[in-house]
Amino acid sequence: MSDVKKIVIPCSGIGKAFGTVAREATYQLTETDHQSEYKTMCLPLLVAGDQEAIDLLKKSNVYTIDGCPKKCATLSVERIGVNVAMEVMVPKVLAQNTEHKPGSVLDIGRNGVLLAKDIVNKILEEGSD
Amino acid sequence: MLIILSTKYVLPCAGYDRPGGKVSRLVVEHLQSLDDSITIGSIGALSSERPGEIKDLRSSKVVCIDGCSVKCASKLVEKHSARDFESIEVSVLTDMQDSTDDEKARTIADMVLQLLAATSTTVPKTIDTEHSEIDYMTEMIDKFILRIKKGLFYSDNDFWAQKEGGLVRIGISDLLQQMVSDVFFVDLADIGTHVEFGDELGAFESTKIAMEIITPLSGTVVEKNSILEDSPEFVNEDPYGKGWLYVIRPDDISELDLLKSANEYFAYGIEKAKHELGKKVSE
Amino acid sequence: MSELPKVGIISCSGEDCPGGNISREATLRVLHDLRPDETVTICLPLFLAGGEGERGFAKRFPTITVDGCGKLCAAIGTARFSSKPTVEINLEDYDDFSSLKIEEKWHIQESSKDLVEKLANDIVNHVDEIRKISE
Repeated sequence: MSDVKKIVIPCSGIGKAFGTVAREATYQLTETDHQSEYKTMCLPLLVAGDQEAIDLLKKSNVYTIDGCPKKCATLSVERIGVNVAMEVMVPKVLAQNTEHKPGSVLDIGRNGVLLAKDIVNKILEEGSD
Repeated sequence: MLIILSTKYVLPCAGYDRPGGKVSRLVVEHLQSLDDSITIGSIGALSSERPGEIKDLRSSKVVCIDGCSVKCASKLVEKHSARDFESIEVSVLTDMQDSTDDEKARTIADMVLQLLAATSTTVPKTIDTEHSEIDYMTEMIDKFILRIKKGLFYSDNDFWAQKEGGLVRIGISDLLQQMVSDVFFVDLADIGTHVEFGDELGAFESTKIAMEIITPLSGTVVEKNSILEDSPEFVNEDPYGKGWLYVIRPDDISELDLLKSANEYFAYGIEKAKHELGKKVSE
Repeated sequence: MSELPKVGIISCSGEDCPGGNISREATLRVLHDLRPDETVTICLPLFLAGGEGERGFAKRFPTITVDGCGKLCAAIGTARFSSKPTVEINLEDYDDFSSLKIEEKWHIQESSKDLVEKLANDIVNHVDEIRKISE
């Protein structure tokens, strides 16, 4: 992973559908068409102080996807001394794509997957090196 | 705002029917002989919400002594104070199983003094001014912290109203924002719109629900919080501050008397929160 | 005291490893289907970021952490910022752990549904046991 430059950190909140949407967006970025470019890490692992993970993060462009205004992913990443290249708030993306309102945290449904796609597009279009 | 908690308050278990309760009482006797500045709390006074007892609790560093895993003392403190506190549960001190009650009590009394000394460091305890107990009544329901801002009026639809001279500012209560979850769209009515009490005045949508804003009074909109159109999350983040909805020129300001006071809404809100907050998704 | 305490369930986030995804699925099953009235969802990211409600609950009430691997992010985080969990579950202790496929780190495959159910039932048993002790 030494040549990886883009790391996506979702909040993955289990309490709300937006956390699952953030996860789905991360999956779409890191496991499908863009997997050569984007990787991810476990947020709790970073907070736990895994030094190898933190060091890698510091050498990368970091994109956070937060499910709610509490911004757990962004805040946690910043607290370990890493700059965030781009923050994405799922509710704000939904506000621009209201037809993609997700289902529940158990099943975000087709609309939730489409909302994740909207997030991916936003990162691809607006995220910069 | 900095508040230094210099007084010490210890709330012992009152369980007469359990061994832990007896040890708790012995701890109190030891504490009183070691440090007469400690206020010993009363489960009875706290339960009946005696004002002096509540004041002592909320203005002190607190240690609870729970006689067993039911933790009556700790639960009562949680109910009446939003601050952190320390607690010792007598029944989990397994390395003292062979000690006499008096030996246990002396050891626990030392532990209490250490905890009180640790919280009396030169680093003062700070209180978040945004949610200070002076401005808010709070209640914990499971993991949810319900905040009712004092001095406001509240409708049964969970909207608040605040007098500002001859005008009234309105918004969504903390209870409502927690119930509806993340708001992602707010549609506000135009300035100049006139409404009667209970009319719809715009709408908002959250991940859980799309609902109308129900005005808690009759009057004309003189100002609307347009920033919510770009930042609807303010409704959740700061429902009593940045998340305000409208300023209204009331037709008859005495209409506010039809609403609940903060104290009345507090009792109402707690019951509602117990049923509504934390509801799970069912397949 | 007639009301039994609710039990907080804290699952690891589950990115980038199949065990985490299994943990998350099993936890959601317990929270929403099997024991919705007896449990409280504790969001680990919010907990770690400083969520006062989550940390306050975990300090005062029993918790079960569910970790997808031996790094034990949920268990360690809970103990560090609140109190030691009442029960710590590590999916690595399950026999089926070694047969998990890498594709399952984001979406549960048919082959792992039994493991999700088994884990969910184990969590349920712990919830019931904790609440029985509190009676």
